[in-house]
Amino acid sequence: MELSKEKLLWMYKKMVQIRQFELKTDELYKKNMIWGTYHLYVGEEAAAVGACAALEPTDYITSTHRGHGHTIAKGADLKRMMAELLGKETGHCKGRGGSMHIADISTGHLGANGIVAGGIPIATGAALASKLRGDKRVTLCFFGDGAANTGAFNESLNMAAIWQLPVVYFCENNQYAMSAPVNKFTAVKNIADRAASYNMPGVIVDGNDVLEVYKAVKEAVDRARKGEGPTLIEAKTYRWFGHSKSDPRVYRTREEEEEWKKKDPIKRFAEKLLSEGVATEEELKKIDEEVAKEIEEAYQFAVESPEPMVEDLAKYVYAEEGE
Amino acid sequence: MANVKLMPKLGMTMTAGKVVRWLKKEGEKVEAGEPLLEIETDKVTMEEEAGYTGTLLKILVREGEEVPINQPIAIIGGEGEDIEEILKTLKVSEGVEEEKKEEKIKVKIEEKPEEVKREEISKPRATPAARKIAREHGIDLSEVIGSGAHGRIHRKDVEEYIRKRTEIVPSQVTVEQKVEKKEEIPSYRVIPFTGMRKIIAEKMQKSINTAPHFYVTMEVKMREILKLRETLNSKLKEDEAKISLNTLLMKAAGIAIKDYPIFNSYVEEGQIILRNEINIGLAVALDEGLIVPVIREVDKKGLKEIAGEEKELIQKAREGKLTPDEYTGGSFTISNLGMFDVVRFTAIINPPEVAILAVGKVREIPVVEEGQIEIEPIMEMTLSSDHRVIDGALAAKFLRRIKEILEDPLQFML
Amino acid sequence: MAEKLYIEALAEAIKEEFERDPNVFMMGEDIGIYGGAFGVTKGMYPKYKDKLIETPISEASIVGAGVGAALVGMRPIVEIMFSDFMMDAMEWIVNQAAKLRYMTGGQLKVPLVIRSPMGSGTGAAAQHSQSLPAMFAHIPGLKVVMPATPYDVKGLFKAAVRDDNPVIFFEHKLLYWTKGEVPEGDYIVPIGKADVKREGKDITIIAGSITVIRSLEAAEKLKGEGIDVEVIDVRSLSPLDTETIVNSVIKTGKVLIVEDDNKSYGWGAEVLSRIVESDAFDYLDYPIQRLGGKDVPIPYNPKLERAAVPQVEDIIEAVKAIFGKE
Repeated sequence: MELSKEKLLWMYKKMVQIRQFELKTDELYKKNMIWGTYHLYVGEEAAAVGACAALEPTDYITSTHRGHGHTIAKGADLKRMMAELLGKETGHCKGRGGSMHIADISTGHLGANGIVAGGIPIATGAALASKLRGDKRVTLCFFGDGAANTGAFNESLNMAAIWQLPVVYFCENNQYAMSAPVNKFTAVKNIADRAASYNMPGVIVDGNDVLEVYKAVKEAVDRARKGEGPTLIEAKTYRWFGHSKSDPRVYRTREEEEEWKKKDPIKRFAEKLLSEGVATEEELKKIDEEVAKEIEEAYQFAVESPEPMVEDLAKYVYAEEGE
Repeated sequence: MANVKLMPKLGMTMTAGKVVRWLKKEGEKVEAGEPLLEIETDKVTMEEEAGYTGTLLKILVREGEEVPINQPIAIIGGEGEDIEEILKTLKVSEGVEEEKKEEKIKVKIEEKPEEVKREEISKPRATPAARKIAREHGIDLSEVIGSGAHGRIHRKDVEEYIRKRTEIVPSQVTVEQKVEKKEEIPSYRVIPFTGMRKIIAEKMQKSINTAPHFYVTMEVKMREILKLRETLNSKLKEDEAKISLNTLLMKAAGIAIKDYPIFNSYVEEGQIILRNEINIGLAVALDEGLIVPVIREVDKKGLKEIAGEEKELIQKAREGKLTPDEYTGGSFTISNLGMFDVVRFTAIINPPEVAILAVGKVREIPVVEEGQIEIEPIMEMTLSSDHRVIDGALAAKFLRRIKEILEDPLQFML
Repeated sequence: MAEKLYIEALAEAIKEEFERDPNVFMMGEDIGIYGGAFGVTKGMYPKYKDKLIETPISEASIVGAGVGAALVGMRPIVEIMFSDFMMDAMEWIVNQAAKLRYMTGGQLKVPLVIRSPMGSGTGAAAQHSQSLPAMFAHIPGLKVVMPATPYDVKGLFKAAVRDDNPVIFFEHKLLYWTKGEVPEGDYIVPIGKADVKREGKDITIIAGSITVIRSLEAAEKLKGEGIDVEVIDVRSLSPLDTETIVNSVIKTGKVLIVEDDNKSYGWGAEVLSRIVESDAFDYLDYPIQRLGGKDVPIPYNPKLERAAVPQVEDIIEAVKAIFGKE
């Protein structure tokens, strides 16, 4: 697999953007500037970036409650994302959605989803539309290990298989559904094993290796685009932080967390880029700094943006005629 | 520059956090990612990282203490850094927080809801539509009789009440009148067309416009009837109501109506409707207008009974105490202006009735009878009739029947 | 104008919409060669093979996929075989279809029609006989319609397909084989407009779906009692045409609401509230009365089943009681 330096550095930058965006989010939440809750994607950056790197801009994704990473990887605007977290009118969703509901139709992002497995049938439907229209688009459906145990997962994967839909079901197995360890609540060893039930390929990848993820998804996307049907990919990864902020992580050990942190996807990818001579330390440092600046700008933009007006409370409940 | 570590928000519902345990001592070095303390929230206890790399210069919140989110809990900075300035500013902002808290408490006290006392009022049971019409017409619903379940007043009950009130003027009318002070004394005085005056005006206007009136007049020799009255009254006890001329007129009219039931009718929606009951109204003058109390079923009642009712109703009318039942539903009206020395006059029919009898004073005049001049007590009476229902000859026959009864009062006995 | 069955008028609307817009298609169980459980798509399959997507028994994902297809520009029609089965798909109706537009600040829209037979009277018992439109009318972001006549079903169906919002389209099973005049070709009955199905001056009956038909029959019989009944067909529950209702109530002053849903927390309660909140309050001349289904699961036994929802005689009795006639 030959990837251009440009593409590889794009991947690096996206991962750094996600990491820094999430750390800033954490900071702002603790300062009580973010309302509600949020779910940090730190530690899983390779999964979102590897997957989205394999997609065309016109391809669709559906995302989850832990969706900031997917949204950034698919190309959403950091400023508008940050503004959304701060509940501002300039946010992607004009402050109506918040962390769990960011969508960006301009980049083919059909929405993060506050409901576990909420996006699985939706992705299936988007893929059905592509098949009916023959528009050659592929839909990639992000979901977690918890969602794999819902009825909708079974229904949708079966439907996608019988209709050979252009969809990639991408399971981010980050080991825990809230406090529930995957091996305690999932009968099979690997979620990808379930692909056999739907007569579709099931692929397991190291979710902390961005190039591995890219490779697996690219293959699945190419098959889908050629009309050869869906794929179930399971990316094994780990979330560094708790499920949401109020999570003391009593269900796992600090040692386990340390082990996974050693597999930091960004550090691993940086080392690979350096050892293979793709980039120099200066180049990577420059990207880090660039991103820091972007995050700061996003923050400033969000802080300075106006809040939505209460008079507009009922706006967007219904689409008006001609909209 | 030293950094101030604030109490972080660690969950959706968290408003304050308790410091459970400091994992570092003052003066100890800390890394940004290192756990600094344990915080207990409303839900959980969790470790919180330092967030800044440096030396823990000052712990601001002791173990076991709870502070709101965003309150300073520690200062982290360079070893030996002067933090006096920071501590000063923190004190100021703490003071502000205190004030805010007090305000909140005050507000809370104000918000304490008052005890709601349930008032026990007996209100008439009425539908919103009935209430609306009553409101618009200034009607007290307690005067309206409800036809619905449990006496519920419906729209039609109020409408009926209004109709009757318009028909027969109620004794109590609220006169709404805006008194405007004017600097100049005008050369005229305005009496607003309101209340009873307005109702009489509308009613009479309507009567004369819709019912084509015609009039027949007769003289009645009153000697016999006056004699009878005297006799009868002499037999009454002290406390019993005296039989008046009006008592006798009403009874006579009642008997005549029995013979000519068309006079007990009214016109409604293109139909002539005959009533069964013979109810005779008697116009009573009041300062503000007039009212017509009704004596029901005079044909079935004795003179004494009629006289008793008559007295009571006139009394009530003057006191404004008539109930709608007592001034509605009349068949025929008698208006007597004899006491004002009126010899004869014509009256306007009291709608929806079809005739009215106008009675003048009894006076002694010379009458030529069989070539002899006799002095006779004579009363003139004029019948106004609605030509839509009654023709001239019929009116004449009916009037003559009354005359016959009065001139030959033994007919009361038949 | 030709007389057509309700089911024919609906099928006509579906076919005309297939022809009109290439983005319109239909998904559902057994809607292909079988023609759907109630035969709505009967005979369409050979010609509209590509438009009729037969699905496995996967209600949640049928609706969910409908939502997904709608998000990317299709105009899916989803048939849920019995509206009782919509309970399986509630997540994708309530949390997804209804909210996606709002949550995304107007970026997404969900032009989806979910059509489904409802109601009792066929002996299918508790899990195949409910009328649940009120449940959906409670959710902001959804539109809910329930046409009562062949004319309305065709016009409202076209309006639903062309609407950019999720529309839940309820067809009472007993209406499928009722007849009425249906014009040829394209016409729209707007969503959110009630219809005065019968003018009268003494009392307003507000009904929807099957209860419209029953109320009209009752109104004819009440004519003999000297009671002149106005019958309003709400047609849409969400949005609800308050204006038409209020105007009628101001005219008559008396109201009977007849719903096929069970009464407690039903749509009749909402209609009642809107009346008393409005100018019509001052014109009310009798406590507003509601007739609804009994608060029981629909029973199997035909006698019980009939007693569970308002019938013509119940409506007559309720109106007579209002006028003090037993």
